[in-house]
Amino acid sequence: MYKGTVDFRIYVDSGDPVGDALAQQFNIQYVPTFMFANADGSLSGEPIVGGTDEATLRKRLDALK
Amino acid sequence: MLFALLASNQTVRKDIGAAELLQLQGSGASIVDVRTQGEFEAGHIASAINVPVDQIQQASAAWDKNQPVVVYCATGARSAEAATYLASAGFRRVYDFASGLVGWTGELVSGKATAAVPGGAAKIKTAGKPLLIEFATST
Repeated sequence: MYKGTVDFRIYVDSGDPVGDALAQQFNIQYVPTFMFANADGSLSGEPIVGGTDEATLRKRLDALK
Repeated sequence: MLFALLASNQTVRKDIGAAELLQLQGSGASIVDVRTQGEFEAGHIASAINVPVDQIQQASAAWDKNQPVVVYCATGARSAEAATYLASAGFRRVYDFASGLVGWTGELVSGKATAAVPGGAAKIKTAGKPLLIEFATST
């Protein structure tokens, strides 16, 4: 449903320097953590820490600019 | 850590004072404290993020190079190193608060930085589309 309008990135464990850098910069301490960024790179709301439901994810994705 | 030489068209502004730092912050610049975590938590400029100088190369890989960045440390030595690296890495607008916190006359806040930092958070590099990032584990 969001293909083409929202990019998705997943960083599993550590080892990817870009993912590690982001995790450190934003003090990611628990997994899973979901971060939402607008097209201009600004963060959209607070990260979601831990499992969540589809409705919450859709609401956050729909709010992205 | 070895850094690449500055490209001829990359410069670092080192003559900014506290007033200009605040102005840049208000305009959306990222304020980066390149001291250690302990120094940062003991007292830092409000809304600054902490990236120790030895982690600048790795951390900045995910930053938007078109966004202005202000770096500072205690006395200007580490911020000079960080600023030189960022400029050589292609960041277009790099500012070094060269006097460091010894020259800061404003308030300092203590504690850790938060993920959502108002008025100057470092941005994430995107491909021009909104982005969802998930940090997960395979175990």
